[in-house]
Amino acid sequence: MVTNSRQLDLTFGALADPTRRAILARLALGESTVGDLAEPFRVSRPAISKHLRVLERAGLVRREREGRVSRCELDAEAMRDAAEWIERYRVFWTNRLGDLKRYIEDSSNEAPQPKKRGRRS
Amino acid sequence: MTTATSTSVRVSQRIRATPERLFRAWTDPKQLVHWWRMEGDGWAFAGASVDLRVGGQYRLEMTGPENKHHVAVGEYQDVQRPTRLAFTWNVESKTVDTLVTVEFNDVGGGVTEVVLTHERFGDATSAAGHEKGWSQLLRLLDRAMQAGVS
Repeated sequence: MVTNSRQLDLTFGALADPTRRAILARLALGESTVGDLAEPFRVSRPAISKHLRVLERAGLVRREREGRVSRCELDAEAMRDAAEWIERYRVFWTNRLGDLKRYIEDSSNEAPQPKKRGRRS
Repeated sequence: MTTATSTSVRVSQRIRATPERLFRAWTDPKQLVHWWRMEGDGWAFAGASVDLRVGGQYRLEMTGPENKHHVAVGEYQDVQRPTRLAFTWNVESKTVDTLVTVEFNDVGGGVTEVVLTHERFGDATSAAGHEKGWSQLLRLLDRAMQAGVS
């Protein structure tokens, strides 16, 4: 459950920012230059570059230089790992609730619940 | 295995018991040790401590395959006996601070539906409120992946 936790921290950390999610949403439509990418955002280009570095470190974005132009594209692999990690939690919690059900229903562990027998005095 | 369409995990289970009974099973260390065993997963329960109040901490210790030791820790965010319990969830502080909410809904006939939601996987450090942008992003990513990007 904690495999690759360092990489997952980077991924979830990178996704925890609305500007970076917006950048990813834009790149999901196709590759883009850094300049085009920065345009719709009310932040400076250096600020966009900083966000891109975080996304790159998280493995979510690939950046390539062509002369003076930097092109960015989405790398969905890290996203898939994050989704799988979430899916493992689904299995984990489903099993826990199953255990709870078995514990409660299949055995009379704890002191039996007082059943309503006649009326209380 | 799966595509990135979900940002939270939500599972539920109907159990023949009262909400109060289930709330106690979930919050009393002496009872936790009886059911939080994870035998099927190759895990064994090693111990629990619970400080059941808002802001109080809990700690669940587990031993995994190859004797790996794992500790789940967190802080109670909401304690509404016997219907609702919310707590942050971390595994050895290695993962982001996610949130687990357990609701115990009386559905009649002596049956309680336990609904568990584990969320904030991608929104842990900022205040909630970006859900819309987040799910929109995932839809786009999902589409991109199916179209063969990456």
